[in-house]
Amino acid sequence: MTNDNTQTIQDQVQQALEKHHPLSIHGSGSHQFMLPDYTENLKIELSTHRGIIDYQPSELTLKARSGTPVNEIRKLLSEQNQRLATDFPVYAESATLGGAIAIGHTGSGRPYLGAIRDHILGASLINGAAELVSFGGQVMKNVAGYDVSRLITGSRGTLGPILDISLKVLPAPQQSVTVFFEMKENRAINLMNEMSGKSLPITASAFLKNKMYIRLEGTQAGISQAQQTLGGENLDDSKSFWLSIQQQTHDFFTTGHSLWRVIVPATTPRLELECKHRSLIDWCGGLRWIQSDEVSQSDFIHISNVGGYIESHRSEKPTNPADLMSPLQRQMHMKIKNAFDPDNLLNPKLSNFT
Amino acid sequence: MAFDPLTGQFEFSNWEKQQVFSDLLEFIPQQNLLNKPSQLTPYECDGLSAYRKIPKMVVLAETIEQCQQVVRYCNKHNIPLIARGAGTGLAGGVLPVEQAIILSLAKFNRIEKIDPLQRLAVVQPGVRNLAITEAANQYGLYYAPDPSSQIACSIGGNVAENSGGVHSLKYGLTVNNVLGLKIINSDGELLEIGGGECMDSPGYDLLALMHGSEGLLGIIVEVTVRLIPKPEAAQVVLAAFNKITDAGEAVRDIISSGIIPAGLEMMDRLATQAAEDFIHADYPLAEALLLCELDGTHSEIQQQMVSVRQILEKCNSHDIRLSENDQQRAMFWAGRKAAFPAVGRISPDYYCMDGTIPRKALPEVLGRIAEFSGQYGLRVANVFHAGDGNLHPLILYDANIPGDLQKAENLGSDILKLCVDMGGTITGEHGVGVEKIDQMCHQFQTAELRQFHLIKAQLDNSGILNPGKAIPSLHRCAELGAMHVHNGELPHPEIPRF
Repeated sequence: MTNDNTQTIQDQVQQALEKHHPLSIHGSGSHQFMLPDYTENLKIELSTHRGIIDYQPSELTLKARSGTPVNEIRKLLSEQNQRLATDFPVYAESATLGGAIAIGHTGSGRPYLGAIRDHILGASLINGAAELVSFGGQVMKNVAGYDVSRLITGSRGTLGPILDISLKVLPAPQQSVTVFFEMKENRAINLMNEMSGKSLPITASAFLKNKMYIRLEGTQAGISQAQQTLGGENLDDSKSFWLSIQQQTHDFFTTGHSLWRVIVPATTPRLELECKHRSLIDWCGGLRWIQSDEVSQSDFIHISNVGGYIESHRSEKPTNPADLMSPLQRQMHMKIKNAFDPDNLLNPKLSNFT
Repeated sequence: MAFDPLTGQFEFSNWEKQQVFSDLLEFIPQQNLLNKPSQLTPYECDGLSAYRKIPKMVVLAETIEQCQQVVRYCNKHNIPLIARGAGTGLAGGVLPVEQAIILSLAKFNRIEKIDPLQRLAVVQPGVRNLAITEAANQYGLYYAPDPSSQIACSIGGNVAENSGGVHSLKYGLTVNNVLGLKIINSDGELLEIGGGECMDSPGYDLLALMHGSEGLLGIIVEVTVRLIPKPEAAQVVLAAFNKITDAGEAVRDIISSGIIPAGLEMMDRLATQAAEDFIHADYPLAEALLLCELDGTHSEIQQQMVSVRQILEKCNSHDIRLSENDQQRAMFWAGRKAAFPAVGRISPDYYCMDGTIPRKALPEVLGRIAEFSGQYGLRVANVFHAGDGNLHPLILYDANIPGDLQKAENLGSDILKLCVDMGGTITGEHGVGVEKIDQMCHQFQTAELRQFHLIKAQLDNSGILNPGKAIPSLHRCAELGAMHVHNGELPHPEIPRF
């Protein structure tokens, strides 16, 4: 399905500007659970601004409107034996490309395949002056002007509705295999990091319930050589295991407790939290999902002391990213916001940096 | 504001040298304050030596606190400040402007930490690119981006320019390999950007914003880089073609086949001939030469090399050679890496371009460049990172022949316009600096340029950080009837350029 709403979106921002009326920007709503209610009377619905604008398999580039579902892009890529260059979290079938960029989280491939932002080549948006602005392009290298196409990653619509994104895509690997090993948490954290420093085709590593999972992707020859080096047992359905983590449909995520996203240096040993909790380690140790309804102040302090931060992912009270920043970082965000939306009309409830 | 982005006008103070010198002595040791002509001359230009200006003063800072004090001082007294790394940039990014002080970060040359288990290094901005890889080598790790000047260029400069290199097709640019920065903003405050040892950070991607910002948004004083495991092995295949379009098709087919080579480079006949005469790499002479490097485990390489070979044969390569060991691999690369100085031997002057195009446009663009070459009566040697569409056409001319330079400038301008019109960009990895500031007017519309200036105005309210570079004023673009491109010469001929 293809639909170009550029003019309507630009008109909506223009009207908001003229009336000096705040405007909220919505995608499919698949990240709604992470956000406070930010709805305004004036709304832009980006999920109908959709469709793939250009896909050049031999160029390894794809350009799509922000409202295009990530799964639609995946399907098209797989028909050409290609795929998105890293793992995208997709919390609903309708989840959009624009939403993925606006939130800016990356799935399990983060340490090995890069973050989503690493594969952005260009982007267009409507800024707070109701101007259509385009940055980057569809080429692999481009250092003309500031890198606004990547800057907007994690912007939650506060710098303007994203119209379209150009991405670098990659050939699908010949083979994808997961091996697992039984072991204790600290041993696993250490081993994941050790293995990641070797010339092995690892593209994801995780730890859950005393099992360490290592995903290997590449040529058949490369993988069988790696399997011989690593050992371990083969996981039967590798693809659905990792998909269940990106979609958060794995049993771990479906208990109904509050879910916290904890970002720490990858080699941080097991977190000694006061609260009763369950954890899933992803990103080679750099991301710890914590299930708990009792995270305490001392747990926050412990995580901060190891050099990381904790944010609510699914709970009653979403975290304001600004609360995780230093005063100078907040100030710099405020300045960027002012540069794009000086009247603070675009998603004002999500841009509270003061 | 001391710099007006609309008009491009500077209004910086005309400061008294003696006064500023004695003021700065309060926090900078005397031997680190340079103000004598003999001391200042090395700072008159970077790798784009056609543009020169002796700065009024140079500060060799040794600590972050000293940098902060200099920034605060310049801000208070309305003095333009240009941070400088190794000075190997190719676009005039650190060219002194009127009344500027150069803040040299060359003394920030310490590797502060290497964490082999976490695969990262924390380094000062003046550390040389290659020094990071050398220090990580003992752990079986390396820093991936390898700009051609990597033996001399500094990591801080790499961040400021978002440098690429031969291996960026597979391993990315600087922005993809840096985890965090410490910067000093224009108020002299120190802040951390990006995750550092963490793989994420809340909010906007300020880390990306700083990459390629050419010293206009802040001064980089510490860099945390990602290290990656050295591949078990690497092998290069060299292939010669009688038609340049066949080589272009081979590039496309290799990528389409699902293989991402570690490097995929092309040279045309003129560049190959020059390189061969200079290095004696035993290159076959042909219309186009392709170098394709695969890396990974032995078995991976073996499997992929079979496919690459089949593609090269299918695309009519008449001479295909595989490197049999690391020594031969280095020899295959040697000619390519020496292509710039090699071309320098066959022409009194040359002018290097840095346009990037979609790969599919390669045959057409090469055809058009050949037409331009005929029209202007100037030879063009083509050397490029074919895998990521980054062209380095070298326009050969003789500055002593009246009108030759102008012809070279016009030809270069036509090539860059062509790159933009084909959906590409005026600069893939060298940056804008002063060199390509006029072509920015062709690349961007007014709304985008205004957006850039708004970002700059917010982050550097007084406009003291590297004014007049990277982003053209709106007046400049409006007044520009035709684009003017200027000549460049390399001041460090000993540094390989590719």
